[in-house]
Amino acid sequence: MIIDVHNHANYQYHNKDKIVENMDRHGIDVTWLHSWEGQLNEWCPDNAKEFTGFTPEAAAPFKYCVEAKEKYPDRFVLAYCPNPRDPYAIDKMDAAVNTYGVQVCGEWKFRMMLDNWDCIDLYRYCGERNIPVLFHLEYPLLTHVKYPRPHWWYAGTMETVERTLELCPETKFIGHAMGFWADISGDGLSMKEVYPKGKVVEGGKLIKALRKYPNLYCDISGTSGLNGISRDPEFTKEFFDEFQDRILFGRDLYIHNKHLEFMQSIDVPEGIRRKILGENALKLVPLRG
Amino acid sequence: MIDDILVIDSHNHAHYHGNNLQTTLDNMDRYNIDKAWIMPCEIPLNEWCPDNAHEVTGFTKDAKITFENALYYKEHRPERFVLGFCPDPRDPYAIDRLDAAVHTYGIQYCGEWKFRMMFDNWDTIDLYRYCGEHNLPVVLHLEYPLQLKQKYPRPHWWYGGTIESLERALQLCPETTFIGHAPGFWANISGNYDYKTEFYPKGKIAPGGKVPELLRKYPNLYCDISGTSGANAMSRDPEFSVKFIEEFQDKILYGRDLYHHNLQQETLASLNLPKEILRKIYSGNSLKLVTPKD
Repeated sequence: MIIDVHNHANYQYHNKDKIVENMDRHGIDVTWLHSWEGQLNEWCPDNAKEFTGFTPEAAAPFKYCVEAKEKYPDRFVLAYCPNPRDPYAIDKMDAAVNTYGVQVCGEWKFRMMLDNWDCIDLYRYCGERNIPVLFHLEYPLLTHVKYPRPHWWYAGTMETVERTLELCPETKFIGHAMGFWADISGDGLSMKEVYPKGKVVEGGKLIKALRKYPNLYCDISGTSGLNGISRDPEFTKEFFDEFQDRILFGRDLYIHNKHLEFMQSIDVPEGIRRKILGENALKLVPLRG
Repeated sequence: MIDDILVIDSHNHAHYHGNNLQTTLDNMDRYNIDKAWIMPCEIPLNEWCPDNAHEVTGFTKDAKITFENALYYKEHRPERFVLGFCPDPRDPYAIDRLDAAVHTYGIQYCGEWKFRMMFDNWDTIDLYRYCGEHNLPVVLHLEYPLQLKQKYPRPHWWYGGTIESLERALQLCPETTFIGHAPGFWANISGNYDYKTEFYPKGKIAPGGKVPELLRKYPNLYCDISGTSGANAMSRDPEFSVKFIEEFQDKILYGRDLYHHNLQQETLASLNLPKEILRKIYSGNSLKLVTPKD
């Protein structure tokens, strides 16, 4: 069973039918479809072409996830995350859980600190209902232009992630994105480079956090995840071995299949491969038809 | 002036608590206040408690107290008021707006920073760093999310995060001067964690409070004794207060954040402080940070 735990609907020119075609082509059984309620001034307009039907309030509106789920109920898991600044956020989440059977809180990708008190309230709601929260960590690397923004950042720092994990021990978190995966290495490059290359140096903040917090998981989606696990394959084998129960396969794109190709090519025990490709996801979120 | 000491109220607002320009001036005269920092509060409508709406004449959906409200006081009586401004740091134009206010109106501090966001949010860190470069002290409001018995409009009203998020901002911005105040700040004068449950904790102050610790550790942290929170912190344990004021005599600013009582002055008078210390608190420290422009 192969489960892509991180993708979107009406994304990269893929509507529900094209997503299923893409999944079939790559042998992916199930995809978690995430909304992204990123408001218009908090994401880079260079990416606008990738989000068909975005609105001022959401880059990837939840309704497209629902449409896909309604047509292909066996192929998708619904993920939704309201903007935590909205005073109605928790009631919106609750309504989505009860109305549509949302099983994941995601994608949390907002220009605010992950440990903002309003977010903490939302995560605690999720913890009580056994809904994992999938978040995007990205550091404020300078764009060298002032407008529309001098940087595009989300969630803060790995220290912010740690404080959040401490405040919500009953909630499971799945981390990903540039800042998260750059911190796999202790080379100190996470504030300097989006996709740092080369051997992974001991002392990475991600490794420390995974060791310390049993409620932290990670997904290997996006260029960042692929870079994180492919920059130093020898290290990756140890990483997969140590955290084999908390790493999840995901893509966050449709334009290639390099994540799955990497997973199928790396020399790791078959049991570990199976956990990462689907079993860990199933343990977190059982499938419903 | 009080006993020939210049008195500067370093934390107040315009058109606030039912006061217009004339009644504000009358109130200042009654309490011998020479000058007042009048700060806007650019907080969006859904981030402050509507029970306070009657206190702020002319609020808009983007500001509880508009900049124009404060500017009106300054333009009519420039010798009595010191003007500040703090744009919402989430606005992509925040720093340019602050810069324009500095150059157009000569604003002298960044205040009041009171937003439903963390003190160490990267966008506000950028704003503080601008303030550090331009010698504008930042007036911060810290309030914890004490749970109310209601869900809407909000289950709690919080600002800034925690005393630890303030500490991270102090570390990230060593060139910026911060002035702390409000319930969450002053409850942390004591080491007994009552900041988690009470706005205005009473009784003896326990050792180990984060406020004394941070004031010792960070030369860029100051505080103002305004509001019920500041008055409470200075009066709940007079023996402690005398020692606290002696130790931090160069970092404490007199302020009110209200007009309907004079508790700050009454408390300071009750502590029998040396005149030199009173001079620093009433205006010396404020003047060190900001030289009022008439």
